[in-house]
Amino acid sequence: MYNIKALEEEWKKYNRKKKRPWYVLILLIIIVLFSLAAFFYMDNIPRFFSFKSIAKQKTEEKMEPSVVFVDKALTMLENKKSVIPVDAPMDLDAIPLEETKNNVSQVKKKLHIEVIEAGSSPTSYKEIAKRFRMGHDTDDSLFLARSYYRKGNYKKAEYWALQTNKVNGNIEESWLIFAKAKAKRGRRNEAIKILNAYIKRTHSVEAKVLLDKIKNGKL
Amino acid sequence: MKSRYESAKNVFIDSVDLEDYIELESSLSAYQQLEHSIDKPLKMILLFGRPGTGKSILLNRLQNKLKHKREIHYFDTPATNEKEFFHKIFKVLTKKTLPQNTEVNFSALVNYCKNLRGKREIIIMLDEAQMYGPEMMEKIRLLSDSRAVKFIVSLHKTDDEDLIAKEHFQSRIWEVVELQNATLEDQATYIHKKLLKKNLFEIANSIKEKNMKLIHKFTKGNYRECNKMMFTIFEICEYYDKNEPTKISYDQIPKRVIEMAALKLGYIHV
Repeated sequence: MYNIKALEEEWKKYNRKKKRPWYVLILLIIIVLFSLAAFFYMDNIPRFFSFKSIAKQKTEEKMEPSVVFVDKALTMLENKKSVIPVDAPMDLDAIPLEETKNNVSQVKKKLHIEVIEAGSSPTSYKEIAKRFRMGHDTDDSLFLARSYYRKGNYKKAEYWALQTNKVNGNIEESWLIFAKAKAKRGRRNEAIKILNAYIKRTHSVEAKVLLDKIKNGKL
Repeated sequence: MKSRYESAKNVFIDSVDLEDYIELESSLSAYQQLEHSIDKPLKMILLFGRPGTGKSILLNRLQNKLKHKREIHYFDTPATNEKEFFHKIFKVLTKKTLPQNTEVNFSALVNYCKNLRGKREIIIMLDEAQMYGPEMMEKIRLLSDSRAVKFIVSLHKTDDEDLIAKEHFQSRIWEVVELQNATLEDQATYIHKKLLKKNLFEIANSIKEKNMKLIHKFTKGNYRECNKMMFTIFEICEYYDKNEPTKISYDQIPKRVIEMAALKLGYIHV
């Protein structure tokens, strides 16, 4: 009779050795599965964050219109996309929450165009002036300066150009309107002085051309 | 108390016992081929196969079956020297025993054989013939050329050398009967028949197909190895049956026991 106990021990060793490749295989499968799971999980995290950031952005955008679209008439104009009086009934609920900044600027441009098309009624200018005072948007003030200059109301053009410069001193058009309005009002020396100061700072070609025109009395 | 596995173990004690001979399809085919070759006017017949494929038992069976019909002799072990071998041949041919201190005159023996042609047809079966040297084989050939003596030469097939390729076999052997290792089916039949022959039906039934596959895998269909394996398996079973019966199932031989036997016999290693 053999030493069965010794043979049993030998068999246990053999059995462990025989099963080792299976254990390794199972371990590899587990590692691969975990890796795959981790990969998909990690892949989803940025999506989650990006979703969050989009949501945050959207929230910010939701907040912005309430500041920008102080005037309810603007939202109405945006919603209806048709030529309507600027002093249309206000309806804050009609403000589309998904609006972005780009849309906001488009709305404002549309409004300016519509104001021109509508015959530039004094009420429309008042509305824009009111909105500027609340929002200090240079687009509004510059629009008013440009419009008043075109209409020959140089005093108001000068005033709105000055308002624009106060908010943002780097808008060339505003400086040029300011100088032209001064000149038109007979304050030629002041206009030349302003333009010289501006040219000295920016070396603007257009400002130089305007300066020449004013100096030569060709404005 | 005697274990049920004790009888089963003893069934597989390796021996060339004709009573234990198991008739299998493959061995029957080899037997018929050999019997048919004997009837042909051939001088030498080669029985060829790996160790443990059943060559010896086949020769035994042939002798046992033909001994009353033909003059057939079986040399189971090779003679240690030429003198001893020719003493044996002399005895077979002349039916007389030579004194120990005398030597056979080979030329006289060949002439004696030539005189026997047409009168007697003697068949001599040489087992383990790979043990005979080339010179001895040459003399055997000369005796067979007399056509009175026919030799059946049984050879081991080994991995190291192809004995058939040797010149003295290549030019003299006219018929080759090759025995193959047992197929899975043959081996399963062999094991079952062996056990059933001793009325060990329950034990035979406890060796399932997957057990047979494992045993065949370890023994590679070699009958001698199979006997060793089965003996060891039943010996381990006997131990458990007597000492730790909870570790053994009577319905089925545990795979663990087969692997333990394989470890014991060196088929597998830790």
